[in-house]
Amino acid sequence: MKLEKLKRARRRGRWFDGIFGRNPVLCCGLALPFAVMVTTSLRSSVSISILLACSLIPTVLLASLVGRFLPRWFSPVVYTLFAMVVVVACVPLILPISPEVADSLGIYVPILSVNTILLTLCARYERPADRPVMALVDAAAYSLGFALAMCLIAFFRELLGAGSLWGVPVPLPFKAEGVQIAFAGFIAVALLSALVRFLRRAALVFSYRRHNPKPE
Amino acid sequence: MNVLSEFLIIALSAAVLQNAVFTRGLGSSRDTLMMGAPRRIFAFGAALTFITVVSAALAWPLNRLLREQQLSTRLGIRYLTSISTLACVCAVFTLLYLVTRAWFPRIHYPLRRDAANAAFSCAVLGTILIAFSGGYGFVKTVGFAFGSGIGYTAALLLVREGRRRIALSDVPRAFRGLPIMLLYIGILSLAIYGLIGHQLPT
Repeated sequence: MKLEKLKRARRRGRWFDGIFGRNPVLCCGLALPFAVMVTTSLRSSVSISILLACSLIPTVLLASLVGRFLPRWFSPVVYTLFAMVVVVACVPLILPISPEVADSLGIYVPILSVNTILLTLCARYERPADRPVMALVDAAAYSLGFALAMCLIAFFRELLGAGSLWGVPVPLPFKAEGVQIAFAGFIAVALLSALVRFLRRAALVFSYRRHNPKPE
Repeated sequence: MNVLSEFLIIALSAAVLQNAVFTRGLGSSRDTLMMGAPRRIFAFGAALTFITVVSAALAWPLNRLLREQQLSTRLGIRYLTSISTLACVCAVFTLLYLVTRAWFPRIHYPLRRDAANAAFSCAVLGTILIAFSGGYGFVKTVGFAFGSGIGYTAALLLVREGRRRIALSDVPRAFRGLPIMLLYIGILSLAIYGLIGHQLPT
């Protein structure tokens, strides 16, 4: 009975794995350069998340469709070049957020094409056993998970470091500009990652105790 | 002599003061930072350094040609330099893989596992693009790429040593693994920030 429940819960959770349970940044430690360097403002974080989603979903779909026909060692070449072309084509999508955002992101726009989320998911879905639908679901979930983590980190860093949110000044009694430096990015990711682990474990313990009550 | 000193100074600066991992977070993915054996780290670092240096040497004349012909403006493609640089990295990786497989099987065998990870690491493309955006000449670009590769390998060794020592300590459960490693890298990053001569904003 309990095994059935577990199987059902796992099947349901599979759709949201990339968002919460296996968040690419906070749980899996993927795409860390972006989480550390780009999260100094919400605008940059949202822009990079849009670009990642735009490049990740088609590239993972491509991997699931043609990956099995390519030699394994050669497939990253095809995926990264394809992702780079898609990223470059999608840059106009982020310009309405702010005209300077592409310049402020600098080298972090082109290196999206070699990010570890993309290469990990492409490697996972190039096997013939996996269906393209699940590849799409995972790519969308991982993109959402990435965006969620980026926005969460950027929220704190912009608020504390610049005293603003989305460029709008927020009156705060103090300002810690050091939060905007690279080292603070590493520390912020570490603290949030630990928090997510703690919450995951707490949820597991709570669920276990609810289904296995202590005998009276 | 001037060329050599120029090369060494920029390489040293790239390895220490502008370390790819500690100052820009490049190439800091969990899989690479969690590498265990020093032998594997050296092999990975050697592959990464080789690919970065050769790709930079190949991409520099191409980038210069693109700039002189103003192809980026004429074609209206904003990131043409990045596309050409990535194409160079892909070409170098393909050549390295095929040449070692055909003629150097003893090098190919250990390289096989990590060559793709090294070539398609953010550190390779990021380093070359930083050198291009700095407007460096050929020697400086190659020196920067070389120093970056060495600095990346040193960073991996430092992280490994830190991880080995942390494993002996009593770390809270939630911080074990990735979080404590990132805290450690953050502290090293702060140390390098101070070494450059910066002061924390007050």
